[in-house]
Amino acid sequence: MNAIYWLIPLTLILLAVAVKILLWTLNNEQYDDLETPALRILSDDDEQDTLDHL
Amino acid sequence: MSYRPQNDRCYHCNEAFTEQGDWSIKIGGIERQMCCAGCLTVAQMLVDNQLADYYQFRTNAANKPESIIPEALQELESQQQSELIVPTIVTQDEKCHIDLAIEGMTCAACAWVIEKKLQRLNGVLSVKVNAVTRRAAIEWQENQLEVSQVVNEIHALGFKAYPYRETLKRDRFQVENRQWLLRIGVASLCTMQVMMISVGLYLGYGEDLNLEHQSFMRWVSALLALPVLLFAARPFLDGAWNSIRHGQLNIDVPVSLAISLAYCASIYTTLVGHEDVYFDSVCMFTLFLLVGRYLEHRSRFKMVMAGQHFQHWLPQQVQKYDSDERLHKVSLQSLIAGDHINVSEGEVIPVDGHLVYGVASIDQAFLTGEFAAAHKGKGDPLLAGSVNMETPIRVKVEKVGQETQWANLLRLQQQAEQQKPKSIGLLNSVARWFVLGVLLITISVAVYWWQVAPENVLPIVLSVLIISCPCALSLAAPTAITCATKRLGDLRVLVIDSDWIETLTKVKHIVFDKTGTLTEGKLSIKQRQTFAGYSESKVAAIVANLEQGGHHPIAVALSQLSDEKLIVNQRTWVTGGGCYGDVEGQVYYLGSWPWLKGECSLVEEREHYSGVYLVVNKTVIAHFEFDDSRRAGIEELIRELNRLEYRTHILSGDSAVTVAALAQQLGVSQSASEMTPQQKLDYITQLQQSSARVLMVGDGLNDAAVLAQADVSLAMGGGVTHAKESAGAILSSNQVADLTSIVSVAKLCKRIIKQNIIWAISYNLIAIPFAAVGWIPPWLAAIGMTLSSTFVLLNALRILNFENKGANQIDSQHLTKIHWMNT
Repeated sequence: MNAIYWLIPLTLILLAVAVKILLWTLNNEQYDDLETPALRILSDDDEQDTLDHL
Repeated sequence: MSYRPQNDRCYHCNEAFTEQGDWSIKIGGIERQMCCAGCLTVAQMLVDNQLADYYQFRTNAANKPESIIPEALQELESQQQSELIVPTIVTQDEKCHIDLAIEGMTCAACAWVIEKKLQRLNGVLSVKVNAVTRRAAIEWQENQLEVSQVVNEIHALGFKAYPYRETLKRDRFQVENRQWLLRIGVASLCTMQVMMISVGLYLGYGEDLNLEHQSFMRWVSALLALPVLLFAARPFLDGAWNSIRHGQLNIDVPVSLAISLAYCASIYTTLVGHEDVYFDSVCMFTLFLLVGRYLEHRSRFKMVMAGQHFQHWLPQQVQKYDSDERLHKVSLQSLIAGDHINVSEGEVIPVDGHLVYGVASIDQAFLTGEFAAAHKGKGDPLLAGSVNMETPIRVKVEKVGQETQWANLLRLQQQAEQQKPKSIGLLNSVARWFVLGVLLITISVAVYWWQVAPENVLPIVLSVLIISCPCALSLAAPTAITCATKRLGDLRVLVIDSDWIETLTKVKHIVFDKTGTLTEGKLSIKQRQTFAGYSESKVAAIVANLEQGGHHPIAVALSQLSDEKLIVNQRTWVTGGGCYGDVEGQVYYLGSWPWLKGECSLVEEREHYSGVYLVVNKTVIAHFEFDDSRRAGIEELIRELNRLEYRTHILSGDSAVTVAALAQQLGVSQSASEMTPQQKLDYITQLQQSSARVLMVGDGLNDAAVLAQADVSLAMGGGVTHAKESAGAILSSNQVADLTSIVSVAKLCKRIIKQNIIWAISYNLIAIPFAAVGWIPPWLAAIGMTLSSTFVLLNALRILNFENKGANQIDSQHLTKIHWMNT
């Protein structure tokens, strides 16, 4: 049971990472437009420069 | 599912077929009809570039591209636009970046199409189009691409590109949106963690939980709940503080009380005793309330976005007089002080300046709030943002862009709008008393238990506060209205006023404009005669030149009669009457008989008249009659409305004969003809005096006042900008026949709000006694509140599935995906 003394702090660290990632996605405008990205993946043409687009 | 245009309409833009010609193209193996060369060109290009998937993905009709302009002019336009875009390019490390505002996007598929098309250009590194803010961010390799190519590609697709200017409200809302999401994100993450630890604590109750372990877990929970309290719950804490500071009580007060009390008490417990801690309740409670508030915020945001569309209020393209006195289309930004421009009637004046000659009627509602037109004479100042009413005018430019009064006003408005708009009406009146009641109950419960069994005071008080939290109540209206607005969006109704849906249910009278609303508004000449020895061609030339540039459907129809150019020295339009001017030295009057008789004293009384007459020197020399096709489904609509016991009216500026005939055919209760805009306004005001609510459906310049005056107003999508601005909602499909469905949705919304409110209050009333007695621990209270709110939400979602089983069901719109972005 003493494991919780290091397990829980570990959880907290992971949590902090999660929040950091959340902040990043928000600032990266990922939630600003939710419809267009859904369509981006739908076509299957042969683009040479697809790799440049993330 | 993807958008399917109606049968008998352009496959691309869903407009009616008005031009002669066969424009068809095979898309996906099936032959499709387009309405004009413009739509065909875009469709052809999509097909040629393997972008036909656009028609699969789209959830809305495309914008109709401007009619095809000759190549040279087109290039010039693109070049001019590129000119204003070039200065905004940002170059770094040999990469050029630009942000463009795209006009004409109607749904996410448009964004997709633009992205795909631009990505194919050589040198383009990345393209990101945001369908919500209509903004395109493009990056390309320096020297490999000219920005004009980018602009051309966008034009070829039927859109327009402008430099992206940080439009105030839109971006502020994006920032606020992110704040909300961050709060909800943090609250969710912490809630999950705290609840996990709570499981440990609960499981430990029965067993022997080591006191140290318990203490440790409690402290961790306290730590985790801290950001929830201080950051995520901020809106409530601030709201409560503001409310108390002003001596008011709003819903935030008990909420903040519950959250803070729970937290502090739990800290105390963690330090001292054996009782329970409530960090999990704090978190869950906050989370759920946040979600509710966010929903409300989103629905307000959507409405602001909808209204924002017209905060491209100032026209981007302006007609400028060149040194050779001919009109050229130029961009607004290219104007400098001293330029002379032409502003057509019904359009917004784009600059600060003054009137060069003649007289004008200007609507300065944006400044004064008064609809009454201000009369301006030669030399009088004109302000950007005001609307030119009666006739085209010539304006000398003085101030442009950020220097105008209008820009100033907008800045002020932006600051003023930091304050929250009023919440849904129904709730406000209930809230105060509710909160007061809750606080009183809480205090009496606390007092009681303090005397009987002090150790129960905290959990019971918490439970009472949590259970009485009007979370479900505060969700009752916003959820229903959000869903109703979405459902209306499917019907192509763009709701701008927040009260629109609710007021619509109270309407008793429905008033229709005739031309452009009940009818298509595209007049064709049914009959024409000439008198007094004038030849057809002479008359045609006179009329075509006289009506040049007019916006009224009659002017549009007549101006196409002849290509012969005559010199028009002066021209004045009278709304609701006609037009007169000096053509090659002679003064001609063209208008309706009553106007000619009444205003101009040119002709005598006559029994039967219709259409317009051309008069010179007090002699009638020509007569034109027009045909205007009725919109689809109008008969059934009126029948259904009558059945539902609405009083229907038609108000029109057209002749008595035509209007009466139409009214009779349709079965409309009352009709009035030959009305001036003022008379229309009086008519509506009189109706309203009998405390009846009036719904006005209109489209033209002469309807703007009535649309603003009516309790509820609906402007046709094809109508004049000014009309659309004055109305509470816009019907972008122009299908008036959908009115019954629209009303049904509004009524359903109201029913659901009532149901939700009854449920929310009943739940609170029933649950509070249980909590007061001590039968409900705080965690159960939090769950109960959650479930109650979920019920409200699910109930509201029923609106989305609404299908109108009555008359006027339009088959081509079987909608399963609810989509927002109209026009």
